[in-house]
Order: sequence, then C-alpha cells, then structure tokens
Amino acid sequence: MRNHRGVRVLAVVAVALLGMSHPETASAEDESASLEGTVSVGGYGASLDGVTGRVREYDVDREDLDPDLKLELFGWNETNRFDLRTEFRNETELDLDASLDAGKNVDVKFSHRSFYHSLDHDLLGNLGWRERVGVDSLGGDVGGGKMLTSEDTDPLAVYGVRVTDTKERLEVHVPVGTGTTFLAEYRNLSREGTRQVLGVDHCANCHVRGQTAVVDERMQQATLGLSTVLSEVKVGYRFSVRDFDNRAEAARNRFMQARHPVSGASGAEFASRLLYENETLEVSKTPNNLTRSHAVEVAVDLSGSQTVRGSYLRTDAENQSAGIKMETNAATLAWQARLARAVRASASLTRRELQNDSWELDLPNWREGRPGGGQDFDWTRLSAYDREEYLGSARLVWAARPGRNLRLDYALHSTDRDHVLLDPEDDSATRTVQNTIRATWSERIAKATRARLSAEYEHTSLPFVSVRGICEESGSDVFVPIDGGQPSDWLYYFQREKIGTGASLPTKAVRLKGNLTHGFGARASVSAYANAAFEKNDDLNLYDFERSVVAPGFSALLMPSDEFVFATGVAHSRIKSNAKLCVTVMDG
Amino acid sequence: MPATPRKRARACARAGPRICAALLTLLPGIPAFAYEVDSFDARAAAYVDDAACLECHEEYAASTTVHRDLEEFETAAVVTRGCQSCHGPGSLHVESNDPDDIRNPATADPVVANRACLQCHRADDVGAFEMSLHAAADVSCVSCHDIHGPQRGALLRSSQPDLCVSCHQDQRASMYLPSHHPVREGRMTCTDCHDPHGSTPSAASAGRPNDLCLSCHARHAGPFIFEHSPVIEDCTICHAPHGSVANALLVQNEPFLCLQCHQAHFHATIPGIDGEFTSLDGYSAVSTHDASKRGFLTKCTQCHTEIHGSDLPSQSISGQGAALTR
Repeated sequence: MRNHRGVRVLAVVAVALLGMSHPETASAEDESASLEGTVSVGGYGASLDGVTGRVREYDVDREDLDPDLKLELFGWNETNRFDLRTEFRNETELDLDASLDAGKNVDVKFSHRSFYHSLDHDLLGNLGWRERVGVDSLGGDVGGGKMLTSEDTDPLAVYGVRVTDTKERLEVHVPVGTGTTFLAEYRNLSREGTRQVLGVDHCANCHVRGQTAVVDERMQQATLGLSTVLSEVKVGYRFSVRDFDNRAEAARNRFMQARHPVSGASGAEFASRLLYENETLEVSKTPNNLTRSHAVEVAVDLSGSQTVRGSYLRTDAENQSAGIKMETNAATLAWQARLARAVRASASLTRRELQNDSWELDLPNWREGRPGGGQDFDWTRLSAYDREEYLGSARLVWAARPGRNLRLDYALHSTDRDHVLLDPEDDSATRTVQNTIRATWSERIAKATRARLSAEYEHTSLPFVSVRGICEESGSDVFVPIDGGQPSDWLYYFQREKIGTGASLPTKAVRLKGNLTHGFGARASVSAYANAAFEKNDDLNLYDFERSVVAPGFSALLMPSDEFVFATGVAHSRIKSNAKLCVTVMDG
Repeated sequence: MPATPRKRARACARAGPRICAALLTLLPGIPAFAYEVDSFDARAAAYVDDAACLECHEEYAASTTVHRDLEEFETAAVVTRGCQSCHGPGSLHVESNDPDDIRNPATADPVVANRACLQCHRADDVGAFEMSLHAAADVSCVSCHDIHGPQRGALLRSSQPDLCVSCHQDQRASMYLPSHHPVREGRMTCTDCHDPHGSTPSAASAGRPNDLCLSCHARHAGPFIFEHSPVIEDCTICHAPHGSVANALLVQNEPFLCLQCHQAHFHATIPGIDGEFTSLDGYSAVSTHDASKRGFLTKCTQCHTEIHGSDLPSQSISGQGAALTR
C-alpha cells in the first residue's frame, strides 16, 4: 500500500514568485472617492512524485508551473465601499472574495473557493491469505478453505475531487426605525471527481474488490432571517434549509455464488448464512438528505450590565433515500452579567431532545434448513440518536487587576440515551453525566510578556462505551441451547457473547495548559507553550483505559514588513494510550 | 457614560431577582472586585470638535474606515461624537497633548476597550463578547481588529489563520501535521468552525450533535438505517479536526483506533500457508504464516467501508446486516 510504503521521496517545489514579486499598485483618488488596485503575477508548482497521499492532500501534481494571478481592488466613496480579492491558478484552484457596502443599509458578501482534495487509493496489497490446516508428509503446508484475496480493478487511478464552495450573504438594515435587519444567505458546496470504492464479498472466499466510482455531490443551504431591536429586547428568527443531493450513480459490486471455497460444493451450507449471493448490487451509496430548521432567539438587556437570552430550535432531518425522519427540539436559557467592574459571570442551560425513526428489518432465518439453524433474525433498529440531553455552563471571570485575570468555568453535559446501554451489568444504565471544572489564570507579567495557565478536571459517569464489544467468553460451555434444544458444541457467530466493555473516553481527566509569550514590539514575538493531559477510565470491567499526552512547543514570529512574515516553531507531541486487545479464536 | 454600579443595582432589582441586586451592590464594595479599570477620568474632560483631533492626527482624516464616519450614524445616539465616541472627551488631551489625558483603547484595559466597541455592537452577533473565552483571556476587540484600518475584511489586523495562530501556537503546529483541514492552504478559515466572539450557547449551536461538522460533510448526515453509534455521539471520538499524523484526521491509525472499542477480527489468529494460492473464482494471492494478521489487523475499513453509516445491508446474516460493509 502506498501509505505504508513510507515517504521515500518528499519533493515539493513551491515556487512562490507571488510572495517574492513586487506587486504593482495603482490608485486613483479624488476628494470623495478612491480606487486602489493590486495585481500580482507569479507561478506555482508542486512535484509530488512518490509523495504519500496525505502529505499531498490538497496539491495537484504538475508537470509545469501554473500561473498564480492575484487581483485586489478596493474602492470607496462617501456612501459605498466595495472590496474584491481574487486568486487564480487553474480551472480547479480559484478563490474570489467580494463585498459591497451600499450606503449604511445594505451589506453584500460573496465568496467562491475551489480546490483539489486528493483522496486515498488503497492498493490492497495486504489482503492475501490462505489458512493452514496442517502439514503434509513432505513437511509442506496443507491449505484450508478460508482464503482472503483482493483485486484493484483500477490500480493506476489517481483519486480526488474538486471542491467548490460558494457563499452569498445579503444583509439589509431597515432604515425606518432602529435595529431591524433582514438576512439572506445561500451556500453551494459541491464535490466532483472520482473515489475508490471497496466492496467485500464472502460467498466462496473473502474477496475485496476496489473500483473507481464517480463523486458528484452538491449541498445547498439557504437561510432567511429577521431580527429587530425593541427597546432593550432583541428578537430574531431564522429559517434554514440544507439539501444534500448525491447525483452520482452508486457503484455496483458482484457478489459471487456461495459455495465451499475448495470443493465448490455444498452451496446451501454457505448460502444459508448470507443475505444475498450471485447478484450484482449497489455498494457505498450515499443517500440524499434534507434538513430544515427554525430558530427563535430573544435577548433582553437588563440594566445595561446583564443580559438574558432564550432560544428555541426545531430541526427536521430526513434521509430522502430511505425515508427516515429525525426531529430535534432544543431550548436554551442563558444569562450573563457584569456583577462588578471587575467581575463578570454567565450561566446557561440547554435541553435538547432527539427522536429518530426506528426501522424494521425483515431478514431471512439464520441457516434455514441446516442443523441447528432456523432462528429468526428479524430485528428493529432503534436509533442511537434518540436521547435527551442537558448542557449547562457557568463562568466567573475576575479581572483582579489590569493585566491579571482569573477565570473559573463549570460545565455539565448529561446525555440520557434511549437505546444505548453503557453498563453491561445494568440494563437501566443509559445516562452519561460529565462534570468539568476549569481554572484559568492569565497575567501580563511585564509590558510585553504574557503568561497563561489553566488546569481542568473532568469527571464522567458512564462515558460512551462499546458495551460487550470485546473479549469473548472462552469455552464451549458458554453456549446455551437454542429454542429449547439441547446444549451443543455448535459454535454460532451470534452466540459468541462478548463480555468486555471497551472505551476510548476517560472517566477522569486532568488537563493542564501553559503559555508564555513575549513580544518585541509589534512585529516580533516568541512563545513557549506546553499542554499535558492525563486521562483514565477505571470503570471498565476488563482493563483500565489510560491515555497521556505531553506536548510542549516553541515558536517565533518576525514580521519585518507586512509583505514578509517569518514564522518558525518546534512542537513535540507524545501520546501514550493503553487498552486491551482481545483476539478471538476462529471456530467452525 | 456607563451606568454606575448603584444605578445598575437599582435597575437589576427592578428587573431581576433580589439576590442579583444584592450582589451588584455588595461586590463593588469589596476592594478586590472594584479596581478602577479606566485610568482616564472622563468626568474631568469635555468634548471638543472633531476637527481639533484631526489637526494633529491628520493621518486619520483620509481614513476609509466606517468608524471615521461615526457621526453620520444618526441612529446610534451614543456615538455622535466622532473620534470621542470611543476615545472619550478630548479637551484635556487637546490642551496637553499628553497621551494619558485621553482614553486609548489600544493600551487600555480590555474591559474599557471592549466597552467602547460594544456601545454600538452590543446589538450585533458580537454583543455577548464580554462573556466569551477571548474576553475572559483579556483579548480585546482591538487585539484582532484595527479600528482605524481600511474597511476591508472585517478590519482584521491580519488575515486568517495568521491572526489566530499568533496566539494559538499549538493549533498552528497541528495544521502542519500530515492530515489537516485546508486552513493553511487558505481554503478554509478558523471562523468557518469557530466563533471568536462566541459566548453562551446560541440557537444555532444547539442543533443535533455534530451539526457543525455536518454543515460541510453533509454526506454523513444520514440518518442511516445502519448506524455506527460513535459517529452519532461525537465526531471527535475518532477525528482530530486540527490535524493528525493518521490519515483522514483520525486520532490514531487503524486498527488501533477501532480496537479501543472492538475486539480483533476472529480470523486474525489463524496461521497461513507459505506460498501462492488461487481461489475457485480464479483470484491469486501470496500467503505467509502471518498473513491473516496482515490482512485482518491492518485497516478495518478495507471491509467495513461504510463506517459513518449505511442504508444497505451487509452480506452476513449473523451480523444482521449491520456490519457496515456495503
């Protein structure tokens, strides 16, 4: 695989003539109007031969230099201003930002960005294996029926998409009365190109096939909003609709006929374990989805020193391909106040409820007609989205003196999931409660030197875990009779109960951050920082999860002029984590 | 002029609970809570004509910023005094030319500097800035915005991400990790995800979990028939948005990330033959004694491709269609 080959050669040649050139600036000015413009001409190139996918993630491999053209225009008169910036490299890489302030009442913004995003190409080189069931009389391996093969049907393909993101925003401040604003936004985000689709088929042997698929996705989002200020009360409403449209045909994969991988016989033995065989079916199909949301917000300014805000949000999301609908209702109440000249405080509480459609799955019986088979595998998918959440926060800021600042933060996040179990021993354990306290001290040690320290402790009761996700109980005696049958040594996949609980989230965490910055005037600074985190989850039933992160760093910044910026830094990051690795023994 | 603490207390008592009024009255009485943040005593000075300011500060006369035209914003009653709307009455400074005789938000305590801006911007989306993490860290409006600068790009002192990472050095380091969002390439900005003026939760931030990520990655929005519950829970369980050494912004490489919650595949312990083989379907491959480990303990998503969720059932009945392989 290319990504595991290592970075043998990293040769990126970026000819930044743009930054080295002297832009030609022209301006025209009279007493009441001005027009300034800058044109920059340069070139850009990147040679990426042998560079791994992730390093070259946003670069296009070029044989020659592309032009790099930049145009900036800025004009204004007494009542209007416009600002235009654009950069062009090729038909894929184009940036354009424009804004217009027409008088005091109309603001228009437009931006367009397009760039290339390289996608991974897995050559599947690690997928080759045949089981060894013994040794023949000559000492050679005797192969069994279990095999793993793969094929990449398009090994020379280079995968990537052109991402195009266009945003428009219109804001109109109604001139009659005060503080009434109308807002309209539109966004069009598209991805076009090709990607690799992998499909796994285990009818006769386990076979992974890689193929090329078209990417043609478009997301459109429109927002309409209205807000007004009535004395000390600000009221706002927003309606937003987001439409994701996958316009590409789904890739298809051939699922072979089920049969014994060596003899080719006994099809029913294998077919009875599968939902489908001997068919060509769609794979990796991204469904269309539509999201509508309504938001109402009211803010009341009490006495100029404290504000109370309330908001309500209703969101309806729909998977339009499957017809699944989900509803979100959220209400927030927040308060903030300046209690004294040097003391500020805030608190908020949000309640959020999500309800997603359940889904009935009508599946064939397990190994119908086979010894020990015939069990009904129909089930109802109850969504992990279904939940009730409370998010609370409180903050107290004490500016002890100019330049010295102490902050205390508290955060609560309570999540009660309807269908996700968090404790294998307790069927009612569905609620996670996370409490976080943080103290931050900020100090201007000298006129140009600032220091900042923060310490955080987080305790989580029943964090999100994979219950019975790991470690099968050993021994055939754990397998119980099915449907009143006799105890059996038949080992069925669905009987292999896992007894361990695995997690990558801690129950206790201590996180420390420190930062020291010294400025040499406005154009140079040095900064040293260190982050550390020590996290532990000792509520798991088989092992203690631990993770530690230590990341010190140093950086320096020098700006001789606005055109030249030198920045350098060294960052060291050490992350250590442990978890239990359970490897099961294949049966059957 | 801002209301005095006593006035605020009276207003609070009328509008809010009594305990609030008591706090507002008592806290300023405690010396530690009542330091004078504003060294400039505005009561000793008087307002002068703006022309007096521009006699010395002529460089601002031709300024293109909207703030130069404050006096024209007749609807905002508090800022009808031009330069002095933010700098306070200038008579003492005009007489003495002493920088200490006028309020300068650039060097003033952040509380004072922000208050000048929030006279007008309190009704904007930035109105809650005083309670934001930035304000709590003594970052003032003028730390990022050049109030006298040309009316371009929200008056930012420099463009993103340079402005943000001048303080957030650890995030700058993350951007140089092999997998990262295209921020340093200029294709995204920090404010696409972060609200630097943010404070208390807004209606927009209270949507479904991960809505911020889904605002661009809408293809993962589903909701799917077959779910992967950590995807619903929090994208950052698996992804590090600022940058990662692992592909696709994963916090760890596969399979170690997956093995935090799942056990290893049950085929991974079976020994393999040494040599070539060909399946009945005609596919050839080379096996080694440890080939099953290489095959089943390298990258789980080679088979479980639809890790963010799918509507299509996986092939095996034992997995009840939910193995996310299709």
